[in-house]
Amino acid sequence: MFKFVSPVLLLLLAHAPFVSADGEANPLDLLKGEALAVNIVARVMQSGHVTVWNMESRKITISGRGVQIRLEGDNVLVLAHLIPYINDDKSILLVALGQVWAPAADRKGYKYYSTMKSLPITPGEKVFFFPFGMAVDQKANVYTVELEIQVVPYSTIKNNSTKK
Amino acid sequence: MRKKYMCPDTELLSAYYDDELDGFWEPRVAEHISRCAVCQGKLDSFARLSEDLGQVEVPEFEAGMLRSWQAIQNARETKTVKIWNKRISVPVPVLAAAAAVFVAVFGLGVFLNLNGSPAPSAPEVAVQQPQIAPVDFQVSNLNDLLNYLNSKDLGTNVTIQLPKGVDQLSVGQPQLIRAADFNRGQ
Repeated sequence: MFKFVSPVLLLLLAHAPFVSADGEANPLDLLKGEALAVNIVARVMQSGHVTVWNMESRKITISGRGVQIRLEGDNVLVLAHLIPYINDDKSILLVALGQVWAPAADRKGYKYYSTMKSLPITPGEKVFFFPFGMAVDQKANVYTVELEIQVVPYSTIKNNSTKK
Repeated sequence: MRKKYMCPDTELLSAYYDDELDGFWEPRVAEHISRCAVCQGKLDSFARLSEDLGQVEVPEFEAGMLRSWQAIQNARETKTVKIWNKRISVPVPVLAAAAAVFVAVFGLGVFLNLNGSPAPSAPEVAVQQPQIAPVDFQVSNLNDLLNYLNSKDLGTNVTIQLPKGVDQLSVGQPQLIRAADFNRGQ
């Protein structure tokens, strides 16, 4: 038994470059190439193409671990759950679960929508999520809220930042 | 008065006919038969019976004996196999044949797999399904990693506050669209 365990322990110890000199491991280094960065850009569009407001955010996750987005307005609420899955061929399956509370068109109450959609995407490919649907009539006083989502391997971001 | 001899019984006459009588009885019975027409008639009936029996075809004892011997052998070679507390009897030749068929089928399956031939019953859709890659970390303490991921800076919760006054929203079904499939303004 010990004859088998000892070599295994030695091998494990040999894989300890993640522990820095002061003895503390850097968890992000532990993620190696498995981590994913989810870039989120929230926009409020007017007339379908004029950006009146935007906000950017980035979250780091791993395959199968979702990113929760809570979008709050004066009288609207959106809860979005984005789960990226890495396939064996390095493509990504993006699963989006959404819950939307918004006033009805006649302003006489609220509507609740729930949705679950999945999209196979490539790393870096942009996806738009319209929680309140897309403006059809292009009226000036109608706003469209969109979330631009981009999933990229965390290692690419790290490399880019290091080059700068 | 002439002495009257009693006739020997049928069994004694049959033994005489078969030359099975000893030296004491054989001359006495022969003397009686020479003078008794009834016993001569019985002897004649014995002769006819023997003749008739001789004409009857002798049954094939050898074939019957072989069949009996085979049945006995089968009974001796039958093994009792327990299956779910039930006893069933399977002859050894049947067991051997079943084992041979199993080995042949198994060997064929292994041969086909080694040659990369897909099983005919395997659905193609299952092969084409992309497999989600397992996440493989070299982590000594997974709790540290999860705590770090759930910390304030790296938490996966994002709260976005929409600006004031944005209440004239187009309300409809939520949509998830690839950028490549979306033309803005159309």
